[in-house]
Amino acid sequence: MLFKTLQMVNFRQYKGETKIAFSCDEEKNVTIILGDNTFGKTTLLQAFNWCLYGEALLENPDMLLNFDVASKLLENASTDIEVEVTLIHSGIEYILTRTQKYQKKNGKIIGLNPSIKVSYKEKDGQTESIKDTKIETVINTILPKDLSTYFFFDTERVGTISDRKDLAESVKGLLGLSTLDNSIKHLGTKQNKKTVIGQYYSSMDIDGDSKAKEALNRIQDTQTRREVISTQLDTVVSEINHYENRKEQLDSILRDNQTTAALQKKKENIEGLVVKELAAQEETRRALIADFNADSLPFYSQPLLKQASDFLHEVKVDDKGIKDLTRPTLLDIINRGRCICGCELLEGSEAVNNIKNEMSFVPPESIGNTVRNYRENMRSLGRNSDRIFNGIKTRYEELYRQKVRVQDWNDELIDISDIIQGKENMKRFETELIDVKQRLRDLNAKKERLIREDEVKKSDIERYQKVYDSLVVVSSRNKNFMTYIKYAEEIRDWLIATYKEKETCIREELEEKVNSIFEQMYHGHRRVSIDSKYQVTLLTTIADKEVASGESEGLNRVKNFAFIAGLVALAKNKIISKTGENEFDLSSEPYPLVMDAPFSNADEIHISNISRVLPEVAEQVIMFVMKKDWRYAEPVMSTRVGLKYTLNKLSEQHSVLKGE
Amino acid sequence: MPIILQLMKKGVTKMSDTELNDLNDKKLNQMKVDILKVEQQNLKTREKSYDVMVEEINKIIVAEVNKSY
Repeated sequence: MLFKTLQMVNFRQYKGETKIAFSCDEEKNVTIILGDNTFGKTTLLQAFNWCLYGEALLENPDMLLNFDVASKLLENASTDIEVEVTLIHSGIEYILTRTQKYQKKNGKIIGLNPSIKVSYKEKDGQTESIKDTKIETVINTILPKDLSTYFFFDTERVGTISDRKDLAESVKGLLGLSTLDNSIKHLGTKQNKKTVIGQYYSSMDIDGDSKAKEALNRIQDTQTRREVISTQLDTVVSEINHYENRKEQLDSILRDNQTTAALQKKKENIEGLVVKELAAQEETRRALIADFNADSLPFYSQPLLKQASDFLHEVKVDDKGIKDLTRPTLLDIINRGRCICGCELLEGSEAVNNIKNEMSFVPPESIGNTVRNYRENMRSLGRNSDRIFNGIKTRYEELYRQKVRVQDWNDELIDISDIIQGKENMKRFETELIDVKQRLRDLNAKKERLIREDEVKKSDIERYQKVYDSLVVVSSRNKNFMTYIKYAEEIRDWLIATYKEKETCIREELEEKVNSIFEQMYHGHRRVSIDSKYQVTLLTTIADKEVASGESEGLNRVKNFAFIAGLVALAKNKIISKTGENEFDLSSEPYPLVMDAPFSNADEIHISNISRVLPEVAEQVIMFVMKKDWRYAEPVMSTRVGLKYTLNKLSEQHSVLKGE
Repeated sequence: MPIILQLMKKGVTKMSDTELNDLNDKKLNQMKVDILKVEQQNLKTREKSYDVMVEEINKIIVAEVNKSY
């Protein structure tokens, strides 16, 4: 950027119209405006600020109207102030005109809102106005306000410029790092939802993906289960086939050996009957012995009893006494005096005599009753003897029949064994057949169960697939965002790496450049150090060690000039970033230096040195210098001066500019 | 590794590892250039707010991803 002209109308002490042209020559790139204190040098500097940014860092900034003009303004009358800057930026000439109306009301001068117009010249020479809404944008494009303080500065700011808190940010802007830095900030991080990457992550439907993942997992799990079921089914079917075949074989064997099987079966039945019959036989035998042991006496005593009966019959000892009647019983009846029939018993009566006669037939005097009782016992034993005989006879007959039956069956078993001797045991096959049939029932049941489970799983898969399909749309959307994220993160990582690389490189270059300039400006042995925050420190070497040195006002000024000159010089350089095969120019626009009383507090040698360096590093130098300082600067700078003006102060309210 | 990329690796999405790892260099470089251009332009003009710049970069990335070369 180069300033072509500055034109002022009634701006502070510049009464009427004042126009300054600046040298834009590459070799003679210096414009000098000489003026002593209070002549209006600072006003010239602030005229640039006011025109570009609407701010003038002057005392009483609300009153920019020339006091002479203001004092002559009539009540309710108004007049305008105007500052117009013509500059060339990126090969285009811009005209920036800021005006402000001042009005006198009730004896007071009031400034209304200033306005600005910006136009530019087309290549064909036609002038085009820029829309009001775009003016601020255009001015920022030409020279951003926050960077302007590095190019428009007065004595005071030269002294403090390297101590600014926003120095690092400004240096980044000047040296092209802000482009990378802002890109990194805008791309951002996953955590910051206001950034590009943060927004991508926020737009992702993680929940949808989780559900899709869950559905997919279920599909996969269920499919795995179906595969297991399929394997199990194959095994079951194979086993069923195996047992079906075996069943057919067994059926065939048993069919072919039906007679043998029947005989074997019959043999087994008979063997069972024999076992049972032998048990019954044993039972009968035990009962026979028991009966015999219990009742054999009457049976075996019968012959003896017959002999005794015959003997008693022959001896005729039977009497006619009443059975079981005894002599004491009859005496008792006589003593009672009345018979049991009611007849009175009197001594010597016939009834008493009959009773006494009966006494001869009853015990203890008679044996007849005893014999009679003995005979009755013998008859009773005789009756039991018949019953016992019949019982034993019956059991014996049963025992006999049982033995006969066992014998018959054993004979039959021998016959069957002779027939089936050498034949296979069909029972084994029959048992196996039963086992095979049971296995087939179990396997078929298992097969049915597996088929049912497989159908359920198949249905589950279809259901999960529907869920998954419904989420595929979400997943597809997520896929796009993931692609964006991948690119965005790749670019951000590249930007961070590039930034680090460039920042380190640029800081080193800046330090080198500033030191180079400082060496040209400073007539001593000190070195400039620039830290990561671009804070500038002067170092001096004591006993082979570098330590921070104290700074006088003059030394501080030289240091800051060196720093500014280094910045300006570096800003002119191309800063290239490689983007694949392409190169991207990160460089900022070269800017002019507009300086108000830059040599205050500097000694003659430093003035001379600074004056030599500045035209070399800056695109354009516009300096408002006191005549006393110019004496030291002129010898080294005069060859670079393209235009020179002198300020004349006609009054406190009126300065004029005269070109040389 | 970001969650989403883990999901991608696990195959929840249909982007293959090849797609993940092999971004299109041409597209990538074009995005870098376009982003730096708008950033540089806005650094000069300060015309666009933070949110607008975020949207601008988003548009650059989305447009470039969807371009067919």
